[in-house]
Amino acid sequence: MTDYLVETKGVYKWFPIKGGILARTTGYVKAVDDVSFGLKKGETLGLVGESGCGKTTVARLIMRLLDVTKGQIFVDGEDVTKIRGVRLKSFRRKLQIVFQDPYASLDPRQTVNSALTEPMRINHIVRTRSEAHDEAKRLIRVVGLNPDHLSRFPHEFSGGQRQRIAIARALAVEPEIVVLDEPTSSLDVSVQAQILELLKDLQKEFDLTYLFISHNLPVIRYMCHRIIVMYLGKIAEEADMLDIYESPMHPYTYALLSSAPIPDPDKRKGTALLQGDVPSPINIPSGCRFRTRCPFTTAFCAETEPELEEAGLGRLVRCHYKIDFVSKTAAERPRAVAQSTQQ
Amino acid sequence: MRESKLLESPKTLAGETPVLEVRDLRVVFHTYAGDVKALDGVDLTLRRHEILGVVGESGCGKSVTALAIAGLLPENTTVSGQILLDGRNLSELGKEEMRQVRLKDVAQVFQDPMTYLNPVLQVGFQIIEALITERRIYEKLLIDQRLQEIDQIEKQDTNTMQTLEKERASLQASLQSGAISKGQARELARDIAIQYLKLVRLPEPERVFKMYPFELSGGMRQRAMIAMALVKRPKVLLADEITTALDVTVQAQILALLRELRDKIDASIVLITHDLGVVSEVCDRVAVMYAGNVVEVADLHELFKNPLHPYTQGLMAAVPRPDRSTVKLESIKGSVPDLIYPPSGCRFHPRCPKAFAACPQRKPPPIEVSKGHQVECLLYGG
Amino acid sequence: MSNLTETEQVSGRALTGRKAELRHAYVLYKQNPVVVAGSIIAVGSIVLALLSGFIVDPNLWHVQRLDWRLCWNNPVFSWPVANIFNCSGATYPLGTDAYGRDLLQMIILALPLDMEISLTIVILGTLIGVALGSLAAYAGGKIDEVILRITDVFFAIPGLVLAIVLMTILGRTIMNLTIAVLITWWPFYVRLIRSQVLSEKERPYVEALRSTGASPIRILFLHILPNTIYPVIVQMTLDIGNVILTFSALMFLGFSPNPLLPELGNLVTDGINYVFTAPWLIVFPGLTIVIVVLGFNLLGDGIRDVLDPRLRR
Repeated sequence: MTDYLVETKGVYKWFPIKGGILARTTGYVKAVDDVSFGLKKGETLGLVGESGCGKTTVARLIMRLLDVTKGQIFVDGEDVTKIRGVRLKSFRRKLQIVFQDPYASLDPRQTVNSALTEPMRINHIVRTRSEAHDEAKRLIRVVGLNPDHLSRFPHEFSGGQRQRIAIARALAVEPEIVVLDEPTSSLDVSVQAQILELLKDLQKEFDLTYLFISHNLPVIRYMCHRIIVMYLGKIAEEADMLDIYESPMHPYTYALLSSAPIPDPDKRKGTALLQGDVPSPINIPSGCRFRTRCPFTTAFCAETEPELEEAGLGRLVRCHYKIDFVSKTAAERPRAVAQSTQQ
Repeated sequence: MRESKLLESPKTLAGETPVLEVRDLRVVFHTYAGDVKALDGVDLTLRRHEILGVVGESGCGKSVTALAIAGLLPENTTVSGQILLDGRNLSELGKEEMRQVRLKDVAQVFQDPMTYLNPVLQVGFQIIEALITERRIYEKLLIDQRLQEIDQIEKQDTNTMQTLEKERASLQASLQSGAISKGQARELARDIAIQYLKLVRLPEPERVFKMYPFELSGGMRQRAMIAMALVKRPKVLLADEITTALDVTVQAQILALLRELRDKIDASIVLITHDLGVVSEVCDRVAVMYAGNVVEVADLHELFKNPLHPYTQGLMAAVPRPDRSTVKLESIKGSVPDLIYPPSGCRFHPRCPKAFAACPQRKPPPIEVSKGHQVECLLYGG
Repeated sequence: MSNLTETEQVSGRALTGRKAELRHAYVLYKQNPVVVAGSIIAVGSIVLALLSGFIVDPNLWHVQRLDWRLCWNNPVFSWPVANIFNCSGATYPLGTDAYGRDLLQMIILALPLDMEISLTIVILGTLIGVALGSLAAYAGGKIDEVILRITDVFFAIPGLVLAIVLMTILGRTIMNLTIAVLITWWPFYVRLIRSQVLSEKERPYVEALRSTGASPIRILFLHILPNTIYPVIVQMTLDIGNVILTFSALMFLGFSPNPLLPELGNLVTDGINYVFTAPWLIVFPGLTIVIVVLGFNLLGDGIRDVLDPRLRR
């Protein structure tokens, strides 16, 4: 579809594992294993999943911080998968990233002013040093700090403030898209609220498009219009926010939602739906990769890997059974088979 | 020293005295940059068989409180106040006595098991290590456990019964003479360890016993750490952000485990976290901390239904929920204060939407607003 | 939109930015007696080395006064040896050497030579090592392999042996001595900076810089190196002393270009022959070496604590 600002088509990223004396490739970490989606202008798309699902890798692939093993990435209709040199540099202006760790995402020896003006100078957005400084002053105010903070070093700021600086830096090159990689996971709850509100305001003011990556379900619900749930390198489910949260169709989405603790003592979960741990992307189970933890798995799930299929308006689900979890009882759930033949 | 108005003789549902009482705990760290007044008069009560949640953001002092209770604060600190464990004042104890307390009565589980487990030793070994090297302290525990087991074995053939009787006699003898051998201790400890590994729902506990930390996943490691803490039958278990580093589906399992353990073990648990969801899931009572003070304490349901302190209210309004759509997150303006130069009076007043003239002048004393619900805020008195 | 115009207090402290850094460094420096002692000695040595040409006539080392050989007339202290020749009439606070030269003057003349050789080796060695090491680490792949293998070759050969071989082949001049020791010295810096850069380049801020379009050269020189250079600086200060010891050893082993050369190692070498009759010839130059090396070592140890921003956080 051409009205996507960013689009990925069949993207794979496999990291070779070298072993043995001659460092041969003994296997692959299949971090991203056939991911295709589109990001529309002005929307916030959430990428949710637990560790090892590949969401961080997808972000890095889109940013061209990593190169794909296979597949294509389109930005503004242009294939950017393999561009280099000057084209790559001008592409970089369109997409910026804010990282999770505010303590490590700024050069500790660089003043705030330098951190903000450097991208401007690299991309020739400004011509003189004083112009850059004025721009930096404007940016720092936009994120809620004030200009005399510009001469200071990152370690003089708190986590939330550093994250604001990181956001300001991302905005310095006037990007269209901002990738937010767990931007508030390292922050206190009250600071998180500030930063999330700031991000929302900035999106409106500068007409930004966000790719929001997180494992934190409440935050994703608050920020995102559309959500993609990832598991072991593949997309498990993709739908609008309300559909995901109110009527999930993939067992993993359902399990995630039922695991997330609610700050309300009347809504206790009691038991955990999924047992066992998140498997590693080195040894991916045959058939449906979620079957080893799925409470509803059947023999068929072990044989055939499900495809990502449409399941209603604007919904995609990768599951043979596409269970309607909203139904009251297990018996009512169509095609939800209880016997588990898990290994 | 401020007169501490604790909740009048707090009793548990069973009518017992609290297992842990912290009174007016003050901790100051002396650093090159100045004195960090980390704890400014903390009062906490932990009843028997309860899970007390201690909630707060970074810098509030929740971890410092745990370290103070365990006697693990670094050298350059000034500590005042009382920490009563079953009536015994821990703050008066010397280093060696405190070490004994840590061996027996106070156990800790931390956030990242990978850094707290020795990577080159088997997990099982680490669990029983203290039991063996300090067997003199643990021998009653070890022997009693085995004696109980023997008592519960159903009648078998005479040979087996004779062997068991011999064992029982030898154990009684060891108990009397107070000298248990290393080999004996190792046997007993191993059995106990495997039982606890089972208790924390680790599959194939005998196999796990022999594994190394890197062979286990994050969730399994955390369970192993919990087993390690519980094996010595502590009175108090301090759990400091134990699920923060875990995936959400694994976190759910650990929280379910904690609920299950609460009824099965003797220990009372202090669960330290920044996550209100975790608190709702597991805790019986909650203490909210801010900048070195306990600003509010209440039963779980009461706290969520009726949060009194503006900070608690702010915290709850700032947290998005997975089950409801929020229109706007209310953030608490400003940021956590520098504890070298903390605000005067109530430490929260610079950020408080309901602050008034008296707030910077006076530190609010704890006020009991309703049964079991205590606040430190001038809005409610003081 | 209160979020957008909120002003926050950053830290309650008065000084910020660069001034705070310098002040902080100064405070840490003063608090550390080891660093202070070391830096006094180190700076003192360098100052003395610079001024030595003005204190003592540099041509004096050629001048031999055989009638004043091996004498000691310092009234304050006397050596427990027999038959000390008393060079009456002249004042030699540290006695004279085998050529009749004032030992104190020789030591003062030796300092600039030692410091010059040492600093040349250390600075050039660091430059070469840092250049190769950071290139290897940042570029990775084949370049890394090649550089590492070359470095390994040099590592495999014991330094002193290599230096001896080179000196034997090249001949005995100061220049060759410098080159010989330099060749054995640079590999260590390659390893040092390589491991630093390898870990630093994985840090998020480097990724952030890449995403803003910064070129690898920029990232390497303006960002990574300044953050990783501290261990190298510490190593440099420690090495100044070590290098002096190394080429003193070489001199001792007979590679001195000229027995008259005022160089601390050389002086000690000469003195060995007279250990029972004129012990001051070993003691004072040797003591000077010890003090200078110690000074730089202490300085190096202390600098680590004072300078590295990450350690201090």
